[in-house]
Amino acid sequence: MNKFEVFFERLDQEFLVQDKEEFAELKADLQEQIEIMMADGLTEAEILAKLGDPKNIAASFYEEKRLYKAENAAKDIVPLEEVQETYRREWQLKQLAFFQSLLRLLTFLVSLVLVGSGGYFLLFAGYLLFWQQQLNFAALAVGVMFLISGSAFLLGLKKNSLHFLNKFRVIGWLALAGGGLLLVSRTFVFTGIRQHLSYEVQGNAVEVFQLTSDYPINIETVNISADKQFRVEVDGYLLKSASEDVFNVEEQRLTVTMAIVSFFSPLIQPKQTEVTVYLPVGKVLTDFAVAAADGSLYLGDFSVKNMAVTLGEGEVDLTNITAEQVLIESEQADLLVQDYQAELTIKNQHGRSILKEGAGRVAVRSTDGLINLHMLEAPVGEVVSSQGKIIITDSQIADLSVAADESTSVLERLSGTTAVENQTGKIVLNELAGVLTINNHSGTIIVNQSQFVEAQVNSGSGLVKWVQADDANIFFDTETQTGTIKSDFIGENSAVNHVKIKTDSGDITIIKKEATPADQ
Amino acid sequence: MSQINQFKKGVLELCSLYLLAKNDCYGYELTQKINRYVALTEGALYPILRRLVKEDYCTTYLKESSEGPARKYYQITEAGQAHLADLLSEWKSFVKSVDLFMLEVDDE
Repeated sequence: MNKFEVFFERLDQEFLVQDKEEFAELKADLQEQIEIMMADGLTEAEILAKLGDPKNIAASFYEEKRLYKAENAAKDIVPLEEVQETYRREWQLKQLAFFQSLLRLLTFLVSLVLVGSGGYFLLFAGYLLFWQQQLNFAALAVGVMFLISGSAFLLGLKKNSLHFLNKFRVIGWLALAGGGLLLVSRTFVFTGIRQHLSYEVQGNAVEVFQLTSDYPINIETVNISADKQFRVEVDGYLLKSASEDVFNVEEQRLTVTMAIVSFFSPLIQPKQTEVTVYLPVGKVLTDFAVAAADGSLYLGDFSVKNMAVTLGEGEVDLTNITAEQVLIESEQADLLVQDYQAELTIKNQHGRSILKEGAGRVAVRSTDGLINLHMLEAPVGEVVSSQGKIIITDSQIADLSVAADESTSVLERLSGTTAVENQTGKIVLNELAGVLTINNHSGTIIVNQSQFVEAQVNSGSGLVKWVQADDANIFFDTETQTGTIKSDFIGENSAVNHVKIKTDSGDITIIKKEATPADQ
Repeated sequence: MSQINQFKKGVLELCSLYLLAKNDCYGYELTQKINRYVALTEGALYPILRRLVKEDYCTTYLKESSEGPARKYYQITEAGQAHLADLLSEWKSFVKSVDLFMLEVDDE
């Protein structure tokens, strides 16, 4: 860098960024003079001395600029630095003010919510005191704390102090912490009042029993001798108000209603209530209906025309029931029905459904719960599941249809007409009799037979593996588009018994096994 | 306030316009002519000339030179002439007043 470059560098540093254009003009003027001076034969040092200190030149520039401004300004001139600083501070203040008003608005809203919920808890405590005759200190304390907290925050707002911890805010935070702790401890929850209620039906006045409960319940049926009266007992934790309307008889209909209809229902969580239904031997009701969100039902040893159970979650145990129709609907129940005689319809989304030793038309539907049918006798059976396992064993179902998506289906020792519709789940069949039809997409099919079963199997890409005890009279009629067929049975089309297996791309394997002595 | 004598600054404006009223000059010419009588930081004259142009007391034009590159010439305008007349009359009466002032102070 030569000396002039250094000179202009220093001069440049004296200029504001926004004045760069004017600096360039001035530089051009000075360069013109430098060139003339060089032409006149002056040395670099002489020229620089004559031009003067860059600081002075810049000072002169800004003075002229100010002078020009002063001559043309309407009122006043202010140094640029001050304008920038003022603007910056102004902007900061504006930002601060914006955040403060936002914070104030937020505080205001939160305070309102606090005051509101405080009031709600106080009303709840009052309700418990006057209607349930129960003094609930926790609810009272939560209410008072929230009320104090909300009010303190509101007062703190009115004070308009910018300080984070003014007196009111300290009170507000403390009360909020206290109330919050109590809230988390959940000691304020009202669990109901222990009550023992009983209703006895005189004579044969009642044909219909109907129970509806918002409370978690435990229902049991108990047989009593025929000369006693049909009776219902309720023993548990109820709201005082609810207990007055529990039993209601109208036109041969006994309705048991345990409802929580209250403005405060979010704060009420009753403990389990025991319901016992005493049924005289020989008493046949036309309707027996239970609807509960959460419960355990142990019902048995009685006859009824229609039975309906609607349960959110819990346990259902039906034993020795004779009925025309039984309908059970549940989101997630652990269900066991045994020793029954009825037309059974079950919709159990996620729970286990086990049916044993029963007779009558049966329909079971589930999303992902296990379905297990064992030793049933039915004219028609319908089982539908998308993901739960299906196990049907030792049953005589004249017309059985199984529909599965991803479920594994295990069918063993069945007689009758069996039709399986399957997507991707596995199908395992053992020792079936009667007529078998399978329509399969891509699931694997494994069949193990000692005796002949008249079968027609259609599979897409699913493998079909058929193990058959030696029987000279069986002809396997196999057909595939792209799969491989491997068979131990050499075709004799004239055979009496035909098994037809057809696939698109699934392989077909037919294995001959030795007949076990028991099968002979 | 500044490294440049305020008193001198007003005079530099007057001198520049006075010279330009006679002839168009380029920047270096002005600095040399003025420097002969009034010592100045030569670089500091250009901002003054710039303001004079901005205030329409002067205009500039480029003119080729026999030696070296083209030079920026300053030419006084009518407004510049009027301003110079004002400055001169103010200057004269000012100098007269100051002389008189000193004369009378000395007499006391």
